[in-house]
Amino acid sequence: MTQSKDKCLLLFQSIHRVMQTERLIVSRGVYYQIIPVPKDYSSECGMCIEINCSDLALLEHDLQLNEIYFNIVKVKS
Amino acid sequence: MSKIVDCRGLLCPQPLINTKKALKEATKDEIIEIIIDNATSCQNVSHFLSDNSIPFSLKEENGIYTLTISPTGEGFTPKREAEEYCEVSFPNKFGSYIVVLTANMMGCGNEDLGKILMKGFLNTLPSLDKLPQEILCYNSAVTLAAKGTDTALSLAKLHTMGVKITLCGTCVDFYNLKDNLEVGTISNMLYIAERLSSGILIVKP
Repeated sequence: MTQSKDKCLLLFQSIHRVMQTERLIVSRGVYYQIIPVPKDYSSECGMCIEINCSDLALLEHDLQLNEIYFNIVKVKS
Repeated sequence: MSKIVDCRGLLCPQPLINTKKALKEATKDEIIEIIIDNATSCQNVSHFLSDNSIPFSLKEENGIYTLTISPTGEGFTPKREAEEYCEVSFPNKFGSYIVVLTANMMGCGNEDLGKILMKGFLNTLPSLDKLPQEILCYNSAVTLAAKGTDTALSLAKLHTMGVKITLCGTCVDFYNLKDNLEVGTISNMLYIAERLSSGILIVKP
């Protein structure tokens, strides 16, 4: 698990989607962190998933296949 | 013969490191004087010496603390790394509370939900105005510090911010994690019982 500077936050509609996505990410073996949704963004679920933006394309494909809908926020750390 | 270890202007863990070095190099009849100019470092060095059963005397004059030690000169191996005694170096950064984790999940109920809440909790702590002084883990909470887990990364981040991470030794043994820990200091029931009964505010998520 490596960490780069550009991070993306994946925001979901429910905690169930967060948990489902976490399982997909774990199976891919990429870096992630479960974090609270930053105050600046609204989301129906209080938790979101932080990933390296470089892994986004890979995970986006997985999420679409599993019909998991989400919003993406790019952040610089 | 005496040796002066001047730690004025130094912040933790440097006075602890210098003290440990002086004790290791000490000869039989050598007296060591550690000079420190801040109360926190003095408290940490005193704790380090007491914990290692090294007798010392302490005097304070105009905010300068002098700890006088008479080592035995038989070689010195600390019980724990000196740096681990570095507590509350930046008092304003820490609150008067510790976090006690009793399981690898937050709350009772659904296990998957509890695990995800725990991850969220650990990743929220760094953004609090006041960090906990310590995170004390026992039972399955020690697995949060296992190498290769995302929770260990979160704990390691807190550790680098100065939060002490303490793990129950019996629990580490039970989960067979002794050689597989990313972060944390192993401690025992006496220490845990002392911390829980010390009167400090305990936050148990």
